[in-house]
Amino acid sequence: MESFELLLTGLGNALSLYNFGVLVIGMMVGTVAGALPGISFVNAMAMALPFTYMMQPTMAMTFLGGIYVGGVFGGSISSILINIPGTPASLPACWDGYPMTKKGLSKRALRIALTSSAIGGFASALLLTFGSPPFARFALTFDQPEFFAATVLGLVSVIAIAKDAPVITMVSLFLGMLVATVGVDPMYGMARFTFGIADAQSGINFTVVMIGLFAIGEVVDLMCSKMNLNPKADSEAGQGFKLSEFPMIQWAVARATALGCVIGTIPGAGATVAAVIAYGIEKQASKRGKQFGTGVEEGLAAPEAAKNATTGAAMIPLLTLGIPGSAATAIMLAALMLHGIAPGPLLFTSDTTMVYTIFASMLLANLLMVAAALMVARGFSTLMKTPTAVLGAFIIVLSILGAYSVRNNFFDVWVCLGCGVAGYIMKRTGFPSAPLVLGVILGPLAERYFLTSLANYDNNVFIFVERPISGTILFLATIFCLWALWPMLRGAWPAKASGLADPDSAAPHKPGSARG
Amino acid sequence: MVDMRVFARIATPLAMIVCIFLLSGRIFDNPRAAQMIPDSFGPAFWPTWLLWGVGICCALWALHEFWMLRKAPAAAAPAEEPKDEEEYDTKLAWIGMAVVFVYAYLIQQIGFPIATFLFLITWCLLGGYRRPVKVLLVGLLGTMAFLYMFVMIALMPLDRGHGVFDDITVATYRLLGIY
Repeated sequence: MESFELLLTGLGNALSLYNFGVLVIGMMVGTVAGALPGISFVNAMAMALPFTYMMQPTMAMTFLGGIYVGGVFGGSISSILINIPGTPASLPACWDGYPMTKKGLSKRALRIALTSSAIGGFASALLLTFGSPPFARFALTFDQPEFFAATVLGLVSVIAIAKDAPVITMVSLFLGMLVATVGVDPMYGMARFTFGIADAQSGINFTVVMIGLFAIGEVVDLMCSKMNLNPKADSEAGQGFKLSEFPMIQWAVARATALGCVIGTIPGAGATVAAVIAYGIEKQASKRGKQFGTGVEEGLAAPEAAKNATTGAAMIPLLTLGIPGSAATAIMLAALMLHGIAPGPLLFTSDTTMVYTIFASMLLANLLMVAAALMVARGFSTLMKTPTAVLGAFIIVLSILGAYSVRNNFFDVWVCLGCGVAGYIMKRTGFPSAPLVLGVILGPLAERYFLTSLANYDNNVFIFVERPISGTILFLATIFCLWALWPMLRGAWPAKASGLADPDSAAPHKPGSARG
Repeated sequence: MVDMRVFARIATPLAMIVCIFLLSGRIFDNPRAAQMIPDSFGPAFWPTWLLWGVGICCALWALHEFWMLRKAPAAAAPAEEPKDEEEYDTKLAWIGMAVVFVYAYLIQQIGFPIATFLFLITWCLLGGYRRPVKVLLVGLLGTMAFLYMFVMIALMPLDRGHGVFDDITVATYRLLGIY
């Protein structure tokens, strides 16, 4: 009962004029950014970060949550209407959504995608609301070794998700962790890898790295790919999708939602992995599996439900353990930390109102998504006429301002631009950038938890396996690692990466944007 | 003749190993101070462990590339450029990157408003958007929007430039009612 009362209080806060206003603005920004090919919701969140400085922490999280939820769906609008996925997670929407548009059923396809996404997202937000508090209570029993083990699990699962190219993913992850060691060390206060640069002593902020990798590199790539965003009028809008027809897709949505919720909680997985797996499972489960790819309703509903079902679930490890599992949740972590709030189990007792306002905002965001997406879909052709050069120019200025505003220090801008160059090269060569970002975020946490564990337990390195919870988590991490490396150990190491280009996931990707 | 891309695929991990080797000796600006710490888990422990991690993974990566080359040379060397690569302007990308670096440098020298106005126009022209009136409007209105949002509302201490540019920036702020 207490949870319901707290949720009602949170709902009251979320419905206050300012919070509701920023949620709606966030939804619109996210949906528009998601719908524009080449600009992902992660880019939008990174660019929105400087705006959150002038907001209260709850409002900042509401704003970013709105962008996240809206952006994850937004990509499907362009997938369905013009066969160009706005975000990599929307790629499966091209496979059955666009054929429906070609048949003159674009309105129906959009409504199926929207209904499925809203249901998946709402279920995930419910899981976040009612699953997080018990998990946070359990996490209160954690000491430093358990937090270290959980961080290691997060790092290892990034490798496990990128099963096709584990070694390159590990290189990227280790490089990210190495970048994070720049600056003064947490125990002895000695400067590392500073090369005599005074500004480097304060370290490299992960927000700056993220903005550089995901915004600057992407914008330059977008300009050079000469992508024409103007839509072709393929067909009429056609008939819609009635509520009475929902039973046709109900099991597809249910299966995909459950899958998305599970995948969302795994650090490093993200929406793309969930959408692609959901499509594959539905193809096997559906009676019309052989017709998939020709405009089958279940083939569109399943990946849509799965990708939005990752949104709330991905926030569980962030809020309960302070461990972000994706680039989007890492930006949320940055927003919290900029306001002096450290997420973790204690947050659930020290700032319950804020936590439940975030939950309520996520629930509301998934309901509001329907209205926001319909509005964006209607204005889509006008939106797509915005020249990419103009969009790119604004994104770069926002990125530079975003990097500068982290510490009001121009050193961060240069680091951001350096990361922009690195991000561009990584994108063109197919070197995965998401593990690097997660390495920059999780690396310092792992080091701090490792060293404080040793300091607290007389430098006993076996403490991590002697304690039951940390031992179990590390055992799971070992299994994950072996599972990822098994093909290589068997000598059947595949030559190429999987090609899942998700800025929000750890999976490696091919150069260029995914196009249907 | 060795395909450049095949060469790059093998050279990249090897070059990274060399960098890792060089970095291992440059963890601290003052290595003597670090040696005075008796703790085996001192400040060098974590970065050293990570350097080993990157080095071993790069060695495995290089071995894998060699193995792939020996196993299937044709697969390792793509015969032709992918179609989308033909439409891709790599030179423009590097020019774009250079423009962004120059913009960042100019912010400190001539101030945020003038640098941003010039950058918005330059980027639009570079991206192929060449309608003079619209480009000027994008530059002007865009700069004004950024100034109102970040200088007036967010109170961000953005660079005003040196000398005469500082005066111009202050005059611009006064004109817009920001200062």
